[in-house]
Amino acid sequence: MSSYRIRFLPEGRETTVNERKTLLEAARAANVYVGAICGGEGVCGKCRVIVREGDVEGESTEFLTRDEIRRGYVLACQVVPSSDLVVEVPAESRLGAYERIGIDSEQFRDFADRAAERLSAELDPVVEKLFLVLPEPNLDDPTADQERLLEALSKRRPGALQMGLKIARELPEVLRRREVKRSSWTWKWDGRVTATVGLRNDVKEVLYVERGDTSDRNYGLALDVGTTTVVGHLVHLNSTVTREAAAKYNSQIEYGADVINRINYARQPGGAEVLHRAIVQDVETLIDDLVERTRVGRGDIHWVVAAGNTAMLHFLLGLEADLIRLSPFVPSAASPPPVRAAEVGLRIHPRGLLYSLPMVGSFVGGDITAGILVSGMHKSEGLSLLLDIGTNGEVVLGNKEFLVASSASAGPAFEGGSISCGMRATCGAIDSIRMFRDGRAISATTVDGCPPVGLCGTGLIDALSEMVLAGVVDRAGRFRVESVPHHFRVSEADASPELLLVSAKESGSKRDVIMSQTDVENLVRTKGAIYAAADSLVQSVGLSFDEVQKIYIAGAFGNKLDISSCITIGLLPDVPIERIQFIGNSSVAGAKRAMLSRRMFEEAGRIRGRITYRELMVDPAYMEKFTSACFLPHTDLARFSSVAKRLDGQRSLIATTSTQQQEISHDHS
Amino acid sequence: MIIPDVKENWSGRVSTVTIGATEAKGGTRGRTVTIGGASGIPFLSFDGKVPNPPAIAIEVFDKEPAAWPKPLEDVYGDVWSDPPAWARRVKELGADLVNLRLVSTHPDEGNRSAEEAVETVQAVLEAVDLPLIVWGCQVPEKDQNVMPKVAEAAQGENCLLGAAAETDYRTLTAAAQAYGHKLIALAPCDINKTKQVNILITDMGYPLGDIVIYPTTAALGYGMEYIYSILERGRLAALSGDRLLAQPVILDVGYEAWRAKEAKAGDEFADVWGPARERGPAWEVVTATTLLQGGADLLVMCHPKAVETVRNAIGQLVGEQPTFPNQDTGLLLVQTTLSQGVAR
Repeated sequence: MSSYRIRFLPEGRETTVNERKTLLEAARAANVYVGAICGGEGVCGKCRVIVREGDVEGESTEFLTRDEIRRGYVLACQVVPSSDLVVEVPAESRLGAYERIGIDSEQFRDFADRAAERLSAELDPVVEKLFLVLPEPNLDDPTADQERLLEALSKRRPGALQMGLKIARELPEVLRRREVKRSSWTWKWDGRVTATVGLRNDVKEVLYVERGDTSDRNYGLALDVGTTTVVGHLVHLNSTVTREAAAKYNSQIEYGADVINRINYARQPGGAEVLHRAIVQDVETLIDDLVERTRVGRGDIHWVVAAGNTAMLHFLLGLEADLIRLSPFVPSAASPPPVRAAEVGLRIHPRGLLYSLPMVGSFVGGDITAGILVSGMHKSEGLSLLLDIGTNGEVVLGNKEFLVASSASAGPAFEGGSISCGMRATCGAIDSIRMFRDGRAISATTVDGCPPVGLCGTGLIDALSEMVLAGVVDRAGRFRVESVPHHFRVSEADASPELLLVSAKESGSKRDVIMSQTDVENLVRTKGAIYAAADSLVQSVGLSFDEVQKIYIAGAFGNKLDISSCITIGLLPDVPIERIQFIGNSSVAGAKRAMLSRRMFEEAGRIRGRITYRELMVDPAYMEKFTSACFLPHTDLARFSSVAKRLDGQRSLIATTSTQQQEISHDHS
Repeated sequence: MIIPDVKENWSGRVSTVTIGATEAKGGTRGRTVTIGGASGIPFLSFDGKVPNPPAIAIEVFDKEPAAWPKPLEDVYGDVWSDPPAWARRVKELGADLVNLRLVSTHPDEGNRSAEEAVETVQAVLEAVDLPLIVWGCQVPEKDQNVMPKVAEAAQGENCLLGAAAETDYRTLTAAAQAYGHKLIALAPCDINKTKQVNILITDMGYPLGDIVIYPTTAALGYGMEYIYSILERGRLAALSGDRLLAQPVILDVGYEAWRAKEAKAGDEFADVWGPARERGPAWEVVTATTLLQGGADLLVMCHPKAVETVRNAIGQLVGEQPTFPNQDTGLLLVQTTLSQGVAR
């Protein structure tokens, strides 16, 4: 078998691979990022690279135009080398829909911080640092060092305490100083120590003891491990203040866009380890960024609380995830015990702990437990609905009497995935957009006021809503090119029409910000899956949306969510707007609450036990509801009377333009 | 013992659609055909009325069909390269409407121009005075070019034009609206899609009441039961008051039935499956009569024996006396074929 040397531009990284390895595999071996949403199946068309020197062999693909093929474009996952190569990874494959590293500072803070403030009154973290001044032993009180410490601790925190041999070994030196006298030395009592105590199940464990008062250097990391986005908040536990927040795309994306694709990837030899390392590396990157910006030492982070969907937490913990995907859908662990963070590869304090918020089942994870905790729906009299809009959309219905949950594979569209100009809610993301009703003028705002480069979830929801109201798309989401022809341009890739939102000269990236027909289709499918899941769930308990008193929307897609736009596109039911509340990233907010309050952490466990999971895939009505919901706003317009009213005003306009269209087609022929 | 009255009181009814226009209405047709109007489950006369028995259109292509089996060639072979002559034959055979398919406009089937298509349509309109159904070649780029001109040329004749689909409905809808034609709305075997296509069409200002639903068709042994259940569910929804589904339904029975290998296989299989001249029509008959029960209002068919048998079946179902002018046809034929199959 021949081996070839492959050099990737612009980095110039090189690797040698055999003739059976695809360029995508070669890029991975060279540690060069090439976006591949489908995980190398040749169906997403995202892993475009340009062969500058040398020859490749492979299948032809419909994702490339004749012109691109002439210029040397290939899909990295579909070709293998037949000589040494120089390959350029163009910008769109490097960033494209997925930006590898980027930091959000303010985007996810708001709701979580407000929650934290309310909590400060009952601050009782699961890991705490206690400053103790131990009395110096004497002949009347010769209590041993270990027992002296435990006695002082039990006064502050009654209950069972355990401590390892390692600490007993170090304790005499921590409690005392060595005073050098001539050629020898003696012990000098100090007695001022800080003990870090963590809860492991029901027993408190002294994690470590250090000299002096370091009780203020006490940080925790609240983590939301999403399929598409990973978010971390660094929390100063004594003050409950979130010092910084950071987010990045989950780098497992290149092994598959959704949970099922990734579990399939994990079936390959070594695949599970690759996914585990990818997510651990993502969390490490977030920690790097957080400690750099806050100047907090990694060693001052004592624990991590992770919320996330079941599969993601399995990958993070290195648990077998394959059974999640197979009937009867059994996770390896639903309430994993606290483990040393170092054991999974997180470099915080060496004895620091990693807690996972309890998961409900294979497709409803700790992020939902977190969402329920944050919304408080499990304690209210009235009926509430929680929609967690992520790559896997989860829906919970209930009150203090019952909780029932479902999940639906929605896709990453609202997080910017599978959308040509989609991005996370970072600098330059369009987060709100307005079109005049004739679709002739567009105004937009961006995150941090940066020049626009793409659209985040809230911007995409707004854009679709405005397109519906302006008549730019029909109710199936298809472009009505004839209605606003000056806003459409023809795509270079496949000559299909694209809606131009921001032209290259006004954009921050010097590229047009556009919406393609496929983008709209992906958005419609995503919103359809979420609405249909909510619809099925509400109907399954014999109720209707009108009887739901509160609807909570959670998701990591930007802060400027326009509820009215959500209703216009049929993502949310058409109920009075004051019943709907956006609670931001409730996964990380819930992790944070559990971090700050032991009572909350235990409550999460109780919530988990109360949820009944309802599998939608066995519900034949779900597919029908999904088809009905894949329309704007819905096939049954009677469900969306407020939208119907707004559409009515626009119908006369459409009727006029269709007549014009006909005239145009006549002139044409 | 008192037997309870099981009669349903339906709140909805199927709209009627009239195809064709006589001189009084600005056209040149000898008569018009009205379909739909049911206010109960098909053929349950105690439940609701079936004011218009299902109508039958017979297939005419605008060019010689490729690979039609011998039983069809025996009937149409002498006229099938001449669409007006074929249309006259179809009228003689008792069609209610002529189903003209502009096959030759397909890029792979001759790619004839819009002007040639217009000539064919005009020639067929002159040759017979039956109402006309006209289908494009179902290649959107081509139909967008051809169908508006066909619609214009047939202005006043109130034809039924096909087919407007979810991804491609605007041009045909605009043409049907501008020149006063009825419209076939295509949504493959899905009730929700049917509603969506109807909404898209009516959102352009086209009247809902002028739409004929086409849920596609599948023949006996080739998924017929899927179409049956979609028909039935659609009809029950319509009768329960869902206006978007309360339009009559057209089914493409002949074309689908004769695609079945059991229908088109020749006499080399005669000793196992029976003679081809009976087997093909029987396949068409069973498909048609089954789907009629689900709520079909307009059937497009091919073989005259099948047409005759189905018409008799419809007559019996709506309470007429059966007429079998020709002894070797009729439901007997079906029964014979089926029992032969079982016996072997």
